Amino acid sequence: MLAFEKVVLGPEGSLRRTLPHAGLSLEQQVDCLVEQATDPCVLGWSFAGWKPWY
Amino acid sequence: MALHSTTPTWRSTPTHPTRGWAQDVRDEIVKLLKEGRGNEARACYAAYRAAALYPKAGTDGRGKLLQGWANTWGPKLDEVCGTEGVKLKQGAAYLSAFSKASGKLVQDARDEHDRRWRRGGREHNEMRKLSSYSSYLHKYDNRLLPNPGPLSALELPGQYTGHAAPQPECHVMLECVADPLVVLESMRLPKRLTFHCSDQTERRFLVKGGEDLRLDQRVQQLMAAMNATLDASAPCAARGLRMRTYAVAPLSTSVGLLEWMDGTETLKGFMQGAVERGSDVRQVKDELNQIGKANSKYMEYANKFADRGVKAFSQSMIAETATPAKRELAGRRLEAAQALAPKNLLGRGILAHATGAEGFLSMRSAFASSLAALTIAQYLLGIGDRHLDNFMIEPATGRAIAIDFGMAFGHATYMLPVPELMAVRLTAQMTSFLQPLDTAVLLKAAMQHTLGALRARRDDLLRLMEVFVAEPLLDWEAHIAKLTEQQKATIEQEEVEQRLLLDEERLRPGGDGYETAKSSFEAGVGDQLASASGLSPSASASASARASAPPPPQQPSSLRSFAQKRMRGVREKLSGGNSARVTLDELRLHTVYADVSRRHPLTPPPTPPVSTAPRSTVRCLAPPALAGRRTDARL
Repeated sequence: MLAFEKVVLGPEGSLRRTLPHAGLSLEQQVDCLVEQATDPCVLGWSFAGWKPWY
Repeated sequence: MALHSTTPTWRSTPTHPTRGWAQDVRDEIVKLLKEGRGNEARACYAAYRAAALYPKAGTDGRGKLLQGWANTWGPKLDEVCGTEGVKLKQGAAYLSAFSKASGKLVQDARDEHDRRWRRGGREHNEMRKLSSYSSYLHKYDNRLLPNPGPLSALELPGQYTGHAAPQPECHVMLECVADPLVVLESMRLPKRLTFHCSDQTERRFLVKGGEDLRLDQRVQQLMAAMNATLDASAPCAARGLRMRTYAVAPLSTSVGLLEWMDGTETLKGFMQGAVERGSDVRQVKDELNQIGKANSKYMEYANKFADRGVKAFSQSMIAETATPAKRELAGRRLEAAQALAPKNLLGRGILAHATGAEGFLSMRSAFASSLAALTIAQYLLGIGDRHLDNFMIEPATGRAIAIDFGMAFGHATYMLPVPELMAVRLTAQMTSFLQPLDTAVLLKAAMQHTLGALRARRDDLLRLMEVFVAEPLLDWEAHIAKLTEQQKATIEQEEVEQRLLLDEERLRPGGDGYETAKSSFEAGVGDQLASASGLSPSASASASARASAPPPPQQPSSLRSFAQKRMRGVREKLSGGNSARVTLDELRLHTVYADVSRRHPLTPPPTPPVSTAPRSTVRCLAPPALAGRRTDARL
């Protein structure tokens, strides 16, 4: 799980690691989501057919 | 993705009689025989035989393909099963003989089908004729019906939306069905029918066999409900933030109709087209080549962790995240592949469809707003499997549309061998289209408006989703069977805590049940607290889950807890949850995680830290489920 946490939460200082679990404002919630979805180190663990590079 | 069903499915695979027999009937017979329900197995065969093999004269609507199949294989099936199924018996010896005989029969039928119907086969051209599948639809003509009117005519599918009482007298009827149909090249060879309708329109529908479309239908209904909310919100309505939905009409657990959206293409096809439309032949060839190279560059690595199963995946992940420098490797292999692919294909594709700069800009902003709305809606519903064939684009307007919702509520994260960790799809081609404006301008603001409007109507949406708890999906049941005891205990305990916190919320002074339930609350909660705070894995917690909320008798309590947990994921997202934390929570139910945690039995389940926001702020934004869940439960 630790490995998953490292990937999903991102490096020290990433928004999604720093922000609390819940109670985010709209801005924070969207920033968090976009940061996670566009982090190359997250996308690099996708299934090949998902084509994360495209 | 199958949902619960008790209806027999033997009628269900009109275009694949062999698959219909093999998957719907034979498997059901084997299951019934194994369970010692011989009478039902015999009845199942008899019912199939009467409907598909030897229908009564005058009720036979089968096409030539189905008739031919029944004529060839009906007698052989009778040989194996006996007329009316009398030869079907219980017992291991008979079962293995039955499996062998029916397996051979299925193989022979497939070979024969391929010889005759596949490309180059004698009857290949018949594949495109409606009369091959259904003589009933082929002959159907509204004007020639013996008793014209709503009772004998066929309605256009998808007119029962569930938003208002149906008015069948106003519904569009089918005049006739066009012939030939179109056979699509994808795996299940879906057939596209064209209906000539009573309102003088032509509508196309895709007939898809081998999939249960009821989940798709429910997701469409939820999206329609979200649209109603978005339309009522001024900032969303002004920006055109809504999703295009399409009609889904499941006919059984394995066949259904999907509305065909005219004037749309898959995003993948659209991007491919953008390359192929290029004027320089050599450049086109070059770019297609580059796309292939990017794909194999990524695949070269991804296959290493994907092909050797769940265990190998978790091991490579552990090895490759050991240090911060190693963690960067995944990002670098992605960027290496990205660098090879041609850039901004969406922009090029849209430019080719735009009449001028102004058109291009308005199409780009239409793409951005539709993508923003879709991203939020799909995020909330946990829709996965977002590869580029599951996004459509309407080139005339630039709007993006999502299709195929077979994986919902986090399925792709907790269930797939290579779990999806990214929550939504916002890959380079999608975001680079918006440049020189960055995602913050075009996407994020629109996403915030969408999320804001939906968060404001959280309770309405959650109420609509109650149906998933009342009638859980079949694949949830299958997944629970794979979980460890510890994982099951965890979800059951979470349900107890959740119930407790919701009670507390309701019963707080000013809450809707405060006065009436005050005394019973005090009596009951003491017990629940005692067992919920017992940290030892948790026979007591699950016992208390059963005691405090007796589940309906036919539903095991893990299934109920699992369904509740899936819905809680949506609730958390609608209450300001951190997307990465939600993803991690879903991963906790993955078999990879089961594997990892078995090897580290002493690691306690990760405890969410107490929110750093002031408690009062958290209270008003989030339900108590999220705000300091663990601390409350330990009081």
